[in-house]
Amino acid sequence: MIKFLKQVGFAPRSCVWELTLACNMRCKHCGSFAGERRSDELTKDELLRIAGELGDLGCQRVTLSGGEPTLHPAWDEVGRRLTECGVRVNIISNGWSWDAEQARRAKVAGLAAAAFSLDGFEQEHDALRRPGSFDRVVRAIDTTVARGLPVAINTTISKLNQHMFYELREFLMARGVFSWQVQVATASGTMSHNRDLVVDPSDFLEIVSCVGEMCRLNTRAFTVRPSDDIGYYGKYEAVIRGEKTELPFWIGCRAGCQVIGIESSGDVKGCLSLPSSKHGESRFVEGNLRSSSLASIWTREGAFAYNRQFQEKSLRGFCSVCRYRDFCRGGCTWTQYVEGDTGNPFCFYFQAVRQQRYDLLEEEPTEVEKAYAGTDRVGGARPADVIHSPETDPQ
Amino acid sequence: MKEIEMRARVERLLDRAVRRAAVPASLGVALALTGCSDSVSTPAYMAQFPEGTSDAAIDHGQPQPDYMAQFPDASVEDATDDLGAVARYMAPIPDASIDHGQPEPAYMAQFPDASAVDATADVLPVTHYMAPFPDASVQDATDDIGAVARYMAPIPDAAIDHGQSAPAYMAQFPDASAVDATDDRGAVARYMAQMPDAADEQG
Repeated sequence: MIKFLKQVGFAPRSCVWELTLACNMRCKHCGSFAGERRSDELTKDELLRIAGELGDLGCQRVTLSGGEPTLHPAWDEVGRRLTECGVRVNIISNGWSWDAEQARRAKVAGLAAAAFSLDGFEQEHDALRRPGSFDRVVRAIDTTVARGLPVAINTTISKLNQHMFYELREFLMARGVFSWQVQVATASGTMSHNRDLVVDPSDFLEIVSCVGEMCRLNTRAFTVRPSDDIGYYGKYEAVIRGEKTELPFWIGCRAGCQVIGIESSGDVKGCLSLPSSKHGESRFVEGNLRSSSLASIWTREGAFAYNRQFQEKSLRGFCSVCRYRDFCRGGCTWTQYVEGDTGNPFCFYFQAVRQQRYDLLEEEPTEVEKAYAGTDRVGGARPADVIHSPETDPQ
Repeated sequence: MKEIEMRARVERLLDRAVRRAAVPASLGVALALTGCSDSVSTPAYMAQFPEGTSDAAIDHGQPQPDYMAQFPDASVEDATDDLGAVARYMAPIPDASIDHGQPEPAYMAQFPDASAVDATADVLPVTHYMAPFPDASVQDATDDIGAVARYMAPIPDAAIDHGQSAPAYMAQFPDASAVDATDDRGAVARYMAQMPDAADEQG
C-alpha cells in the first residue's frame, strides 16, 4: 500500500549492491546475465564514496552482491567503509572461491553475515550452476560457520528443487545455517532461455503452502524467510510475513521506497533485480552515481514513479480486479515485468481463485474475481473485457 | 486475515503516524512555555494562544484554559494520551502539509536549537530524532515524502546497526515493535541476503 509507505517515508533502508557483474559461474537461472564484468564498472574510489553516501542517507543494511562480489578486489574495503558508516553489511557469494581467507576478510571488515547460494543437493545445484559447485559451497558454509561468521542461504526455486524443501531445510539446519531465504526463479535474464526450469504458476499453491508450513517451524536458531516474490494473501500470508508484526501481510513492492539497488556501473534502480542495460531496458534506471549523488537520485522528483506514484490503472490481468490490488500493486515488480505486464500469475490468491481452492483463502472471492479467473485468460485481456462480457458476467 | 481487518490495521498505523507528527509541535510549545527565557523571541506558533491565557495551566494540570474549549472534539483530549498535556490541543490541527508532502510545516522549523530538544527528551520521549540529522540538505523540502517521512531517512540509528529492537525514532509509533518488525520482514528483495539478529550473533 503506497499510502502507508509514503507516510512511513521513502528512505533507502536496504540496498543490494552489485560490486561487479563478473562471475565464475554461468548459472542457468541468473537474472542479471552475470559473467563478464561491465566495461564501465566503478572504481574503488567511487565505490568508497558511494558507501559513504549510503551511510549519509541512513541506509541500514547493505548486501554486497554481484556477479560474484568476491571477484572484486576491494569488496572487503567497501564492506568496511559501510560498517564504519554504521551500516549492517553482509555479502552473498556462490561459494566457489570462498575459503577461510575470505571468511577472515569478512570478519575483519565487520560484516554481519555471509550468505551463499544453494539451489538443491548436488545433482540439482550443479545442474543449474557448475559441476563441483555443490561441494564447494558446502565447504564454504562449513568454513564460515567454523570461523564464527553467521551463514545464511539463498535458494532459488525452480522445477529442479520445488519438491525438496523439507530435505533442504534439515540439511541446512544441520550445518549451522541461521537463515534460509527462498525465492522463485522467473523467466528473465539467462532463465529466459531456460523457461522449462521455471515453476508452473499453477504449482504456486503448493509451493507457497509448503513455504508457509516451514515458516511455522521457525525458531530463533533457524528461520525460513520467503522473498518478496512469494505470497500473496490467503491462509499462509501472516506466517510468511511474520505473524507478530502489526501488518502481517504484503503491502506491496518496496523498490524505490525503502529498497535500492546499485549496479556495478553506478546505475541506480529501485531493486537490483529489475532489468537494465543487459536486458535492453532502461525504464527502471533512475540515474548514475558517476554523474549524480545518491541523494539527488533518490529524491529526484518523479523517480521510482512505478511505485512512488503507483496507479491502479497500471495493473493488468487479474491483478486489476483483485480486492487487494491497492495493497499489493501486483506483487513483485520484477515478476510483473517478466510476465509481460499481463498480471502476475505467481500469486497465491490468484491461483486459489483460479483453481477454486477457496478453502485456502480467508474469505470468499468477489464475483468479479471469480468471473475473471474463470475465463482462463490469465493475462493480456483488460478486465473490462471480462467484466462486461455476457459469458462471464455473474448476473 | 480478512480484507476489512487489513485495511483497519493500516489505517490505525497511519493515524498513529499522523498523530505522532504533531508531537514536534507540542514539544515546541512545551519548550516555549517551560524552557525558554523571556529573551527568546516568541515563535510563530505561540500566536495560536490567545493573549493573556495562562501557560502554566497546561503543564501543571490546572483547569483547562479557555482556549482549550475551542476545539470541537473534546474527546480527542484524552487525559491518558502519552503525548502529554501540551500535545492535546495540537492533535486536532488539520495540517495538510503532513498528508500531502507540502513544504515543511511552520512548526517544524521553530525549535530554537537541538540542545533544547535534548533537554526535554525525558519528558516527551519523541524528541531526539531532531538532533541526528546529519545533513539538512538531505531533507529536500521539495520531495513528496511529507513531514513525517523526512526525518526518517537520515537517521543513523545505532540500535538498527546492532540488530537491536525498535530504534529510537520508531518509538513514535505506539507499537514500535510492530512497525519495526514489518520493516524487517517486508523488505526481503531477491538477492538480498539475510542478516542475523543480534541475539543470533551472540548465540
